[in-house]
Amino acid sequence: MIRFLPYLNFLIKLTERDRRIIVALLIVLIVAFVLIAYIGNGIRALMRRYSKGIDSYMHKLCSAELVTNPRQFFAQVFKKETKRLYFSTRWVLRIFMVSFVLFYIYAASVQGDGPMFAFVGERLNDLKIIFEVPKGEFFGISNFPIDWPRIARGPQPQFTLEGISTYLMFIVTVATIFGITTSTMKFIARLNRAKKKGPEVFTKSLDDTSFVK
Amino acid sequence: MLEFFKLFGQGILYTILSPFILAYFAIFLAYTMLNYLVCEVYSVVSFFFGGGCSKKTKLERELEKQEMSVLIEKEKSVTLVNSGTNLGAENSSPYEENNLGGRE
Repeated sequence: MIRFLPYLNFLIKLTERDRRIIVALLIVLIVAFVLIAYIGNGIRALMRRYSKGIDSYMHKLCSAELVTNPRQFFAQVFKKETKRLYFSTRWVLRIFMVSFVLFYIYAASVQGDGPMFAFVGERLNDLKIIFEVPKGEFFGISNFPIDWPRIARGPQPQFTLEGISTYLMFIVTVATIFGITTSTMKFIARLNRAKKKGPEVFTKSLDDTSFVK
Repeated sequence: MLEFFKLFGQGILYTILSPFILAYFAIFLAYTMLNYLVCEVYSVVSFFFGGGCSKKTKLERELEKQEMSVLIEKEKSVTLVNSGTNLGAENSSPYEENNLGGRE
């Protein structure tokens, strides 16, 4: 207890403003971790839902006794899901590639002395929201955020040919990333389910079984 | 309160594990791209040889064949039964229905 006294003394020395900032920081940290937990649990629930996609076709194959052991079960799911992965990503990637080629041709045609995609950064910067954070001194640390940030500049999109092509390419890129991420998540979830369910469905278990007459 | 602490703990756990989860996901993402490239090349090549990339696996095609043969068998047996009934109808007397309580 005596060892902690200097720290206690230090805490007593805090001004009212410092204490408020410490409490605010703690609350922000707790809320951040709880939010991360909610997002993580949400993703887990989503993947659980995606993983059910193997049930319909595997049930038929197992009922027909075409799949008879866990290894075959996993191999079949892997084959089928690899095909599904290709069919679910092909149009997304084709559209992305065609858009990128067109965008590249446009960028090459308007290129000046600078780098080819210099305008992309400028046009994307126009979309940014710039915050201004009031800063002050905290525990001897200068330039520490002491209040909520305020908006210094909102998004200012420019509807020129450069701007529109950049924004369209940006939307296509975001949609592609979203599409591929979703398909990959489905693929991972279904492989995991196959790995888990394969041994389960081909094991003779006495759980929930009764032979009493 | 316990639920809240559980959530808080999960948040910390997810934060610590996030680099490993992202690395695991990145491997599969790379596989997705590779799979697309390989399948695209395969489907383009097989298209020129008169084939194509099928959505169905070998076992699924086999299952389809089995189902078809079962259906054909059923259809055959139904046809046989129907033809047997028709024969019976031809041989029976037109007045039989009345004897059984049918309309006159």
